Amino acid sequence: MADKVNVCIVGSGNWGSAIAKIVGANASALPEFEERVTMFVYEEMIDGKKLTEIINETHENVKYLKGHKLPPNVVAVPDLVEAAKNADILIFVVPHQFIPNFCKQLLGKIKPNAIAISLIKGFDKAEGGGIDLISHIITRHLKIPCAVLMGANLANEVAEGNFCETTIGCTDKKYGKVLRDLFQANHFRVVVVDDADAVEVCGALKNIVACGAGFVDGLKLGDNTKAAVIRLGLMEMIRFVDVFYPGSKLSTFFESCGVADLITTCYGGRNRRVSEAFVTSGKTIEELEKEMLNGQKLQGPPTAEEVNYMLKNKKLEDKFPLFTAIHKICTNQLKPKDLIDCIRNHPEHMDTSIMPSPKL
Amino acid sequence: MNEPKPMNPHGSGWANELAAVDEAYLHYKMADKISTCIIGSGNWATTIARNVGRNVAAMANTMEPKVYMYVYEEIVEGRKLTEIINTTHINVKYMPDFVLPENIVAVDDIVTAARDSDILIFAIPPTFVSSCCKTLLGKVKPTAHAVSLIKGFERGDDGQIILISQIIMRQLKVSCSVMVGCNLAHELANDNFAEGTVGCRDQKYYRVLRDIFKSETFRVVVTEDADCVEICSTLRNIIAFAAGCSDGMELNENTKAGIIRRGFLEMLQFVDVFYPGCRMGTFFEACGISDLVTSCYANRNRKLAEAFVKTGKPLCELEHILISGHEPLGPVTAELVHILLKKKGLVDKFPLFTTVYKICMGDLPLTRLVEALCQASEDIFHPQHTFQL
Repeated sequence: MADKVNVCIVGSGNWGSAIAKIVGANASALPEFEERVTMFVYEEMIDGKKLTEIINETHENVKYLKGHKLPPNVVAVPDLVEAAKNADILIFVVPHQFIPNFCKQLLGKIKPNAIAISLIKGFDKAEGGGIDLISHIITRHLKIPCAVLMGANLANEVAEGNFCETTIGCTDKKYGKVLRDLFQANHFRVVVVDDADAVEVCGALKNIVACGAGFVDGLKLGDNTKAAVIRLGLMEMIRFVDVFYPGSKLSTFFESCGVADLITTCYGGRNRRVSEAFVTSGKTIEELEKEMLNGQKLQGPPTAEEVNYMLKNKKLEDKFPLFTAIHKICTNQLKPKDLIDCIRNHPEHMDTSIMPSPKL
Repeated sequence: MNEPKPMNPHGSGWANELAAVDEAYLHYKMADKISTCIIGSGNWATTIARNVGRNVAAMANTMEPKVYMYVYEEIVEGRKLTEIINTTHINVKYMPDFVLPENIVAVDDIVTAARDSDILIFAIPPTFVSSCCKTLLGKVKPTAHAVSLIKGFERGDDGQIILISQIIMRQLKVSCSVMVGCNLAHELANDNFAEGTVGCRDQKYYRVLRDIFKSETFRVVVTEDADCVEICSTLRNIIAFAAGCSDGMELNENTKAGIIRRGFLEMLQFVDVFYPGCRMGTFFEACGISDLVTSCYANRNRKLAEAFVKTGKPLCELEHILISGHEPLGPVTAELVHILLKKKGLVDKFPLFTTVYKICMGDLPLTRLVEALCQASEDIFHPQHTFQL
């Protein structure tokens, strides 16, 4: 008999706790998983008590997900190696800047046949420039395969049991089922695709498009223009993935990580909100981050910058006029009102405007 | 669609025959400029008339610069509408403050407008299509080509969806293309950037159609996938209605995104089943994804659905209040689609479309919308094999 699958959640923030609710419930309900799920919690003192103690006694992460009970089989552990050493599946859900350090601590201390799954949105700057995907960093440091989970999800909504969908990108098909079973819930629908890179890149690129949508809102150009910007953004996302992560599939863009996440981000996300204010207030992005996000960093502008670096290297800037224009607007090389002039002669309209069909 | 041509009995083969056709066409093209007319004078017709008028004037060596616009005659402040348009170049009734080019000539007789035209642009309410076609039958050039800008469809005898372009083709006996994608005329009129998709059924008009509709701010992409272009713009009404329901129930953004995504997939699958041969690329054009997104956030169907949920009134009471003079396409589309699906035994494969229909009928409570999504299986559409990037 094969051993049961041990699961460890590395991270205990908002999203980590929300996902712990689902993972914990699944681990206790399904026979193939070991019931006890460890959760690495960065130790903090809350009102004179240790956070791990609070979580293990009250089953509530009072700091990051107040008001929601975690399943009792989720056990908070303050030591990273202790939490991870027996795990077959490591769920990474920490801010991305911690990843290299965590991986160094874990290297050689985990099961050699473990797999990782990253729930981390964002990316790192590669040496020299360009995008370095979190899952690639994990694989590089820990020498284990790393899947990703992305989609139109907000931690609080997931925790409250509102319906939403998500996508797992997992290159190795044999892990697909176990990962789906671990994350699937009645209100949290999981689709597994084997296109991990595309899933993760979508999650980053959509923030650039959302900035464009925000500029359109700020300029009050109306719904059709916004829809056009979203569509052209999607086309550039597809093209970008095709150039830099070849072998990806179009169908991945139909998953939650693609169109659904793009649409919500362009109508609801904070990249959109700040970009709108950028146009209407005339303040800089940094000032707005301070005012509107308590100093948290917006993801759209830095993503646009790294993407622009990658495009420049390949001399492809003019094939991606929307991404390029958004980067230039964020860095004040262009005025927001010039956005439309930049996409007026989009390759989507010029090269292929007659009989565009074969391109896909 | 096309009648197969009989083989030449003398065995001279296709090549000669085609060459002859080409030559005849070239000659015809040299001799006659392509002339255009617009049938309709509502705000959408008026808006597009400006683009068409400007474009044909700029292409004076191939296009006839004078463009007739058929205007349903009305008396506005004691003057005939056609007269006002022809003297002031403003359609005071439907688009005040919007100046038309001088080469747009309003006429009150539809046959006069269409008689000598090669391209007939239809932009009238769907209910008038049949009667207009009847009036025009036999009076237009046999080589004429129609373009429908009309949103909607008709209900066939057996519950089929009959697309407007099919009605025109059937009744007028000419081929008919469609243009959709941009659904807010006033935004286009204000020169806000927008995109449109032309589904063209006649090869020789690919370029012409793009060139007469486009402008600096209105980008047009032409595809040959006319069925898909038109059916997309119909099916999205169902999804917009579902999105409106979710707004009405105050579900969150991610749930709404889930509804839109599911709807998009069902749209793909519906087209795959009922209009085989359509291309995936078409869904990524303005007629597909952009039109869907716009309608899910800013459309009458969405507003109707929101009111339907919030007031709890039956649909038939709300329609008149919210959408005077327009058919609320969401519920009707859902019904027709349901009939088609039932016939094919595919109801279970389209949980969103089916649930929307049943909610409209009052057979299911609203809460089932999300439940349907929760239970929907994901094997709905497997494009993996076919659509490698």
